[in-house]
Amino acid sequence: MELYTRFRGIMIKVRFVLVFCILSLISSCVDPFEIETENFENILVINATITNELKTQEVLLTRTFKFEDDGPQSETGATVRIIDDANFEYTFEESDSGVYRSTQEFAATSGRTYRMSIQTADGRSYISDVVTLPQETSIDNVYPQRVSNDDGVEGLGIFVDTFDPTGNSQYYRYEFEETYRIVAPLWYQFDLVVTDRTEDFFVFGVEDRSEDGTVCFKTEVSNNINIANTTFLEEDRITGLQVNFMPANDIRIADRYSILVRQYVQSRDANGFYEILSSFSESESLFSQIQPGFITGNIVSETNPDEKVLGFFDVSSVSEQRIFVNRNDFLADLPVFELDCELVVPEQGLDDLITFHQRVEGFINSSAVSYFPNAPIQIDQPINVFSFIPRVCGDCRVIGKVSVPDFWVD
Amino acid sequence: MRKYFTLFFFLFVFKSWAQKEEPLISLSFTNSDVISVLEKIEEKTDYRFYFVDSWLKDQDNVSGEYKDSTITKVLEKLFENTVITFYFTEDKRIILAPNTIIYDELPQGFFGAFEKDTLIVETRKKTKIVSPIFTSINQSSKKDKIETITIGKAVRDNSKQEFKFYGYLKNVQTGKPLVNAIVIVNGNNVGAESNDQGYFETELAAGASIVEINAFGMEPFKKRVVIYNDGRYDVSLREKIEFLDEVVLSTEANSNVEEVVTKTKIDVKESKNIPLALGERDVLKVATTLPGITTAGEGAAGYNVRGGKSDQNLILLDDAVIYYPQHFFGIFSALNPFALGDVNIYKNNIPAQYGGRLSSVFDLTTKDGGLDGFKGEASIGPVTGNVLIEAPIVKDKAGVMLGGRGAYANWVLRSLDEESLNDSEASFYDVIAKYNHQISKKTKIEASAYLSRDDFSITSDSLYIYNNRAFSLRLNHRFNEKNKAKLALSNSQYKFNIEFDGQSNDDFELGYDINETELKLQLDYFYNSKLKFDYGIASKLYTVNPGNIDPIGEESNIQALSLEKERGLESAAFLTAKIDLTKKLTLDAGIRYSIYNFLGEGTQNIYQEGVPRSEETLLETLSFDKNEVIETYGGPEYRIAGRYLLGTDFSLKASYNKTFQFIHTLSNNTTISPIDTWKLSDLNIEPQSSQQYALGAYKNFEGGTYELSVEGFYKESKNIVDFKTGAEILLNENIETEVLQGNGKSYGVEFLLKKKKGKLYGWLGYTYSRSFIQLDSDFREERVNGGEFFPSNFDKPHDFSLVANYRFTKRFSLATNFVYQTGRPVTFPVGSFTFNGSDFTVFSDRNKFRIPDFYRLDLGFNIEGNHKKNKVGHSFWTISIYNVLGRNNPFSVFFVTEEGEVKALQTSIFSVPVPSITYNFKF
Repeated sequence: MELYTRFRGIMIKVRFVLVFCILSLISSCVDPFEIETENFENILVINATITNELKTQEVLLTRTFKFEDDGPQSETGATVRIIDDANFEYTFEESDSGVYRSTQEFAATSGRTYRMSIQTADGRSYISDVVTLPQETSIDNVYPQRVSNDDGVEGLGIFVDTFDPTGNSQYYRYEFEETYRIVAPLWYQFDLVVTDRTEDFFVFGVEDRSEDGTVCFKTEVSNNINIANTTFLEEDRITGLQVNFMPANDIRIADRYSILVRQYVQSRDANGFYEILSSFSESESLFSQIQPGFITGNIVSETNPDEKVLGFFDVSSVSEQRIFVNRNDFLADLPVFELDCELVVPEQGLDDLITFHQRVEGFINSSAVSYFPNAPIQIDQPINVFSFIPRVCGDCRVIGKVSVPDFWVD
Repeated sequence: MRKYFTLFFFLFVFKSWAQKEEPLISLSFTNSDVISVLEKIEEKTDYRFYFVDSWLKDQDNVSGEYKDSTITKVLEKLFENTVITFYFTEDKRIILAPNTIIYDELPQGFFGAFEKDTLIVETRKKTKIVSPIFTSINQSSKKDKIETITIGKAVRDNSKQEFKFYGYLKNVQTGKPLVNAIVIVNGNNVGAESNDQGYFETELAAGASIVEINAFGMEPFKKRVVIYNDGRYDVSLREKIEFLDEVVLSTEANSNVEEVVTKTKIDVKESKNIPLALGERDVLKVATTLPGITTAGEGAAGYNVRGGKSDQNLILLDDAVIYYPQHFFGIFSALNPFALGDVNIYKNNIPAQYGGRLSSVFDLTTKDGGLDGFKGEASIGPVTGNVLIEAPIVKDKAGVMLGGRGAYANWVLRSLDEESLNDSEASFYDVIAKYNHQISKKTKIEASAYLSRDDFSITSDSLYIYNNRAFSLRLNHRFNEKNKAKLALSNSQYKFNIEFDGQSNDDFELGYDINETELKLQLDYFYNSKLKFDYGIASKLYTVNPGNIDPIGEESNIQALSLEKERGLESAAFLTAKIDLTKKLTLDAGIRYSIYNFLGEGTQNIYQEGVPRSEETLLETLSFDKNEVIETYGGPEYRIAGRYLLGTDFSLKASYNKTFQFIHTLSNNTTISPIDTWKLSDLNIEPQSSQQYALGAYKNFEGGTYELSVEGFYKESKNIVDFKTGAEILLNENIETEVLQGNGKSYGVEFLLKKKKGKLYGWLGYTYSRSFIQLDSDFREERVNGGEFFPSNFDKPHDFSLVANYRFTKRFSLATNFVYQTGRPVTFPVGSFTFNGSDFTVFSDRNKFRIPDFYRLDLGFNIEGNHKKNKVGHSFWTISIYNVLGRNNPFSVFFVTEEGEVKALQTSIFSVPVPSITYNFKF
């Protein structure tokens, strides 16, 4: 229910700005600009959500980074523990840089309380508030529906219904993992290779491609904050919450699509944390802007109470549901994702033969195109048909993987 | 046939005129009254008399017989022993005036200063020292050729070089001797004066001298005296009268210097000449070009006065509070400029009769409608159309005024061939109506009503509406010379509404409203010319609906929720004494005692002491009955101002001001928005208070052409309302858990130089000021910026404005407006972090950075219609270019996460030059 985030200040969408811009003959009211980090503060960022699924639980430790940098530095060499109210300690080990996995599989259980403790390599220690597992509520229904978005673009929306008869869940967060099938329309079995080279010319031949690149699968993980609460509703029920939207001509819904929606029932505090995070990052208001500030989570430094710590330790109950959608069941009449598969034909022109061949070799080595003869070729003869297509048209492996995911159902 | 000539009680100065061309008349009358005689003269000649009957009614027994006599002769005889003087105009009018009464009102030395263009008269009747300025005394006495007289008998072999010249001075009309007349010889004051009997004596060098005699209030005597020996010359002088082309009484020429409580006056009429965005006249925007009054930014609603938050201004329209006097998020004013009469802003010392806000009072009054007959005004601009009509109800006594203004943006939006905008909506209107009735000389009633509404929708599924409503009924009554009273009943409402009608089952309607009703009795007691009291009582009842949400449609599963209504009673008694301690030192000492009661019925949460308020630290919830007093706040508010005159055009002023504020806007935005709510002080949220110390010097130059002022202030406030990061405000039942209350501090120096006359006029203002807020606590989550003072969102140290108008002719004028301000503080990220696969920005200390400095130049060209007398209406064109330099002034910066990546965006409201044309019509 994104509407609840609408309560937070006045959300005047950028589009409205444009209305005004047109009224006042103004060309651009909202301009992007380059940010440079000033007064950079290096802060520990903790992302720890323990669930009621029996699995190797995961805690991520990173640090804040400058805008000029590519990404976060991992916080390595820390000791991470989760202690329950029976004083049982779950220990974590760093598996990848900054990624700490529990040494044993465990699931958070209701009635228990948990807190997390972290000692970083530089000797600082951090402790979280005590948290409990909220109500376990399973997703009622995940379903696709043809809708238009705010900009009037038609496409496919993915919606969720859920209901907690006990009325205790109230705060929900959604993540998803989407997988789509891609078919390369112009798959060609052979790659062009240089079989021999002389001073004056190269000899070209073809070679079997190692695997079939006609059909691939691509999996992506959601990266937006999608939260909802039912505190203003008569019952603890969510109906028709849109968790994802794809325009009709999006590659994801060009053929067959699957989405695994994960529903986290979370605490009120965790909801508050995510809500602030999301409202600061989607502040679209022109005339008034939410006063941003440091987002306090539920973890503090024991070494120095004034030290800022970002992030949240949450125990959450998870329910998930996967669905499959065929494009033609919903969007058959709408324009589909289309690749630009124009043939690229290198020509000799006035070049020496060797120069031309070197150019052809350049095409072979390029990751942007793949071989696609525009005339019949003799497989075991030297090849003199040189033509290419954008690689994505002839080989879906540039987008995804050919291996069919375990969950995939055709 | 008989025409009355209205007299100002000040003065009549007539020009004497040669009577050579006068016709000769013959007439006789016995035991007649003067008026009949004058009528006879009118019959026989084409001269016409102008006078007031009462002046002549005592003379009811005059006789006379004239043959071929001049009118002058007749009149001289007729008024020989009266106080009546007469004057011939060039168009054969004869104006009579009772001179002595007039002279009673004139100060000593009045005519001594007469040669100057400017006269300054102090009148005793008014308690305030007024300085009327007569700007046009251009027709001075007719200059005769200097007549030569000879004195004394020439004696041969006279060795004396100097002779005595003496005589008597008398008033030809009254026959009385003229005392203290000054004798000037050859332009030098030789120190000779006439004595009590009118006798004068001086020495003249043998031969010719120019002798002038200046007697108070008399025609000057100037003759070439050729003296041969000691001699006597008796002089009879006529009273000096001069006809004024036009008497411009500018009672406030030095008011800025003399007034004790400094007020910022906005010239409503002049505001039409100042170029504003999209040609929309905005009286309050003009105020922001004056020192000490700013907005957070170009598109920001609300005003920040001397470093105060925008909820600290009491904006009154005919005594009724207007909560959000702006349309379209602050771009346009919601007050019809045609309807406004006076606009005064008190930012220095707030008179004790006003209360309830910390920073300032914007006292706006509408003009009286319909007293000069039926008339109207209309304008058409690119955004709005505006019409105001005045009509008389009872001639010269009662009239109505009705004004309406509306935006046609909606129509523009719909006609645009842009699909995504078709769902958008933005419209507004405001209406104002007033009835004024002068029931008797002593009693006047006025009723005003005001309504404004804004509708806007951003997405197809939501609609925002906000409304102001104000009503006031005022009764003014003068009991006697010393006592007068004003009784005002007012009611105001502000509300907003959000309708959401989307695709899912959560359609809702959300509403908020605040309503206040005030009854105020204000009395003036004029004890004597040195002491005056202003006192009264006022009481105001607030009713607030802090928020309600209701489902729309059958399918909506929104649970109807309505937060408890809040009620508060704000009462005050006030007394101000204005005391002239000495001629130069005047004190305006006021006290206002305010009491605020938060009333039931309702519930209040009690929290554990010494820990941050939260649901976990909630101890109990108390219930209160209807009208039960839940909490009482209040105290004395001292409002003291003093002025010391260092001359007629130079003064020093100092003031101390204490104020309380019992209602607060709740906003976690950096600038205010129409959906900010107002909250009453309750058990958990304390009233705000503030103290201001100010000192200023005020100086006028060249008879009020230039005004210069320098004011310094220091202000401290307490319990300023702020919020925890990301607080949820709307529909929050435990809002006190999100509220932080802290201290405010601001100080500054304001310079203002005004040029008020001439072809080039305008002003130049510069302010250096700072504004800080401190949010400190024992708990980290309630501390902002480590509990230290930090710059407020509207802290703009340097603020420079120049408003200059140049009038080429009466019809064409050019207006320019230049503004420069330090960029306002913003909270800028100190880095970014990755969370759940997306990048976000980290904000740390508030307001550590500033957006780039703001500057803007606007130009306007005004064309008045021709000034022919008999045309139906008067038109006026304004062509303006806003932001001529095309400066892209950033208004705010924000950081969004799109596709997992942080994007920095900056907004600006008017980033290119915006031309506009407005047409005004008056009839």
